Amino acid sequence: MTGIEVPKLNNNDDEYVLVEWLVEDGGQVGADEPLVLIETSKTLEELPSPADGHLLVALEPGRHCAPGELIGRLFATADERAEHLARDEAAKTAAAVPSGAPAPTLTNSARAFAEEHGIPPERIGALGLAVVRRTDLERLRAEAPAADDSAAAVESAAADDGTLETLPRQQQAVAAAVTESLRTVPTASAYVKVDLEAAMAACTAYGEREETFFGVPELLVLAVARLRERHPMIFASALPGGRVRTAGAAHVGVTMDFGRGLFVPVVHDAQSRSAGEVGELLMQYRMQARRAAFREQEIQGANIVLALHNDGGVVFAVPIVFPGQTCAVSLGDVQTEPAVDARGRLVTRRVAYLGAAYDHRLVNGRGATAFLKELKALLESPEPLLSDKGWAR
Amino acid sequence: MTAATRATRVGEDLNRALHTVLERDPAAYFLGEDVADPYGGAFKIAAGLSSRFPDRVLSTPISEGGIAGAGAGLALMGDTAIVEMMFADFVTLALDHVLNFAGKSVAMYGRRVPMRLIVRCPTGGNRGYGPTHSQSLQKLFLGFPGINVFEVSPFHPNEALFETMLAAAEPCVLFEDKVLYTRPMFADGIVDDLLRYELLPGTPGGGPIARVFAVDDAPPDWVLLAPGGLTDRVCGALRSLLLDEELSCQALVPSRLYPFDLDPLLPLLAGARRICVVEDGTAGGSWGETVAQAVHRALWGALTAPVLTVHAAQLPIPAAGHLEREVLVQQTTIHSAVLEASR
Repeated sequence: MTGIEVPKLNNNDDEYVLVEWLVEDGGQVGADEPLVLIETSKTLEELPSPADGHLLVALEPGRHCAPGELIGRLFATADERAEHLARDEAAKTAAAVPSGAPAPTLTNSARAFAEEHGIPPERIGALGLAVVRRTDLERLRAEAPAADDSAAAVESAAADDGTLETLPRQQQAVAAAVTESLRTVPTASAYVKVDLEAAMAACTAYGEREETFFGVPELLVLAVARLRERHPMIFASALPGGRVRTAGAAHVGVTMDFGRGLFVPVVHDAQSRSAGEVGELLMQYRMQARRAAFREQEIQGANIVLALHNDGGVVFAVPIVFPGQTCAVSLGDVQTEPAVDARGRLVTRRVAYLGAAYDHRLVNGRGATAFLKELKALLESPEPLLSDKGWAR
Repeated sequence: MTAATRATRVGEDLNRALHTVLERDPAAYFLGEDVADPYGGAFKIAAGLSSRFPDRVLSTPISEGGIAGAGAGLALMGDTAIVEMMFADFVTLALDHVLNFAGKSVAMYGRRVPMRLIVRCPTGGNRGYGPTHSQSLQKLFLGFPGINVFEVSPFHPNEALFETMLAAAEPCVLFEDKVLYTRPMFADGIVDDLLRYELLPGTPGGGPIARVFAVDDAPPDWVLLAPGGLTDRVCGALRSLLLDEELSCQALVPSRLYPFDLDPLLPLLAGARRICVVEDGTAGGSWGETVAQAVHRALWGALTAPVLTVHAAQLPIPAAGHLEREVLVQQTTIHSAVLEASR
């Protein structure tokens, strides 16, 4: 069976008119032979048949049809067509409503109320109203409360006008991960203040030179990756029995949430990527986060996470260390503060708090602090991170 | 079944009405740019006319001033002239002939001179035609004695509309929403599964006024006044306001926008809790504001709140579809404005 769908014929119309079938219902047609006439607001289009077959009309001439709508079907044999038709008829008969009166229109609020309290359509129909509002059903229910216990239970849970909802699957996964983290990872944390003047200037210059978007988060990914060899425990994974597995590469996860759910896509092998590659990949990930569209391999395999809190005036946030990882780096929002420059003048400078939450089983305060200090130093003298020369190892 | 079973489109109904006018009135002329067959005008509203009436249906040079002037001259000499502006935006070029010549000719010769001139203006946006081919310029013709402003709607059969305009024997500017051309005419009092309509008598000379209401015809929380071009968007808002917000709204769609006589509508308006006027153009000396002011004068003391007015944003109309939708009045604009004002 081949479905016959109306293609999009122009940009003006939301719907067209099916003027005429050029093959009679049940007739035989060959692929690419003229099949049906469709009228747009401007033109009359003759559509060719998408395949050989026997036609079963789904939409009668004179009716409106939208682009993508199924208007008919083609069957290889007349028998197949007859079989489909018989099944269709049977389904229609089964679905037919015995009552002769037209069903009333329910407002959305009334529909929700009816579902919540299990009010059957017959009782609503018996009201004899053309349009049924919530107040009509409230009155109906006050006159004859539903005996249904389960409905009553739902109602008592929702007595304060709240509703029962199920978390999206994405958020259920987040819930499981953070619960497991708090149950199994004993974390401690430390923070340093970073002067971002040089970093922000370097990012702007780089972005203008390369005609791309490049910001402090991109720079931080490069900086974190560069420290893996000097701080192997920060990237390690705790195993049972007092053992750890160190990492052969820096796979940096970056948190992203644009209202479609929290995602942590991963910059794999970040230590061997150029600034341009990291910038491009993060931009691609941001677009995917907006659409909530990631492939499994893009969100798997991180051995450190960069938790971005760099907007909304957030000073700092203690990130969650994901089970299987040892450290999460967090970045707060940029703040402006007064400072005294080298010549003793009062100036303003832009700073942010940079933090690390770490698994205290593997890393002590000294190690975490050393990691943070080196990260701070890289951000405050960022040029080597951005020059591809002498970077690859 | 044949193609004839589908509802007539507004554009087709207009075309038929023009055929009828030219058929019944041997002194009727039709002028416009590219109106002759096979092109039949930019929106095909003149299709077939030049083939049937080759001496009286004439394609003109590209000069709206010339077209309107020739039409006004025909009218002054006792003929009937229907002239087509390719886009309503270009009617600015015809203002002198319409306002200063045709409009004044009715009254300035010591006796009343019938001026049967109809200026047809394809109007409105939502088709991505950009800032100079999408405007709603009804406001340009308001408040001039001797000038009547009408607007096409799917509720008002166009044959009767043309009879009304020609009976006025005064220059009429007819606005025809371009999107409406491809929409079906309504018949038998039915808009869709939820909405019904009836034609109220209105005032003599102004044609009937369509009243749109939900199937239960409940007393309205809101009455919305809107020209015919907004029909789809207003009806959509009536539906969503009822189903999503439980607000009962009715709509009144007049055929003649100016002069606009409120009197026949006052009982209905006085019975509504709130009143809203919706229009496609921008605010500032507009039809919506004129009507709102008339309602304030007539019902001051009975109103619970000022009349709500909904207009296009004060911006040139963008050609990009997603930006154009934000600038022009949409169903959601009406819905949000009414909902907001209900709180």
